Amino acid sequence: MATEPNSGADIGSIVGWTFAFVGVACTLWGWRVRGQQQKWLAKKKDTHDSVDRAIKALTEFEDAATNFWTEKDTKITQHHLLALHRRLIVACKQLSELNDCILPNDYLVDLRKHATFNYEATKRPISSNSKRVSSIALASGRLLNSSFLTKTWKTDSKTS
Amino acid sequence: MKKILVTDFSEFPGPRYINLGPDSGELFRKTILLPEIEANNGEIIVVLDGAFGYGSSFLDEAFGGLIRDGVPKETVLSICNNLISEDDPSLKLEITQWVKDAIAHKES
Repeated sequence: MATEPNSGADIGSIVGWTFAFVGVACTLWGWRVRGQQQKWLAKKKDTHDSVDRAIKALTEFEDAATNFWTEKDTKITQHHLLALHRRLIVACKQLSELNDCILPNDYLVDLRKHATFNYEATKRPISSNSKRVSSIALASGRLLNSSFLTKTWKTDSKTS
Repeated sequence: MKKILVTDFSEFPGPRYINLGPDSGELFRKTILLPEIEANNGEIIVVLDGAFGYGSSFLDEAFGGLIRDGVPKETVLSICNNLISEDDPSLKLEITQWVKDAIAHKES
């Protein structure tokens, strides 16, 4: 009979400790989830910033290439075009690394071909309606519209 | 396999033909690629990294020109497979396209 009050105290103690453990476990789990979300958000922000940089590099390359071919007194040189294409490659490689997706090599090759093929020997300026200028714009547009340069909030984005 | 660094030829690869300027694709093919292919029985690795950049005409003349010069297509395609281009992976694809174009043109 004398043990009854102790038994009530033990049960209370067990319940109390259980709540305490559950509380601590929930807190730790919450911290973990929040940490993962923050990491994911930081990675997404980096990825989206890289998309912006790649788009900027692409538009600069397209503008320079168009200017090089169509303007009579252009200040863009052959070296400028190569340097801008290199910047575009670096930006795309960075994005590819962050996004774990394949570099859009077909588009990058098309851009270089249309902008630099025989640029040392071809007479300039050429008409802004010429096939070469249209091809530069088309290749640039294809890369710009590709899934590679599309910002997404999906967790797993792969491009081909 | 013999490793050939393009930067040993030039850090600024130039135009297509020798008469258009220094360090041309034609010069690279005639003074570097063809002698090395002959000396090493076609077993060479060309490293493209480290150069300022490549115009498409340089690439076509240097590598597609091998086909036009009569180097067997198997040898040239093997060289394409062994290209090293970590700075710009798209170069490997473009060179292979120029070589395949040259093969198709020769066989047509």
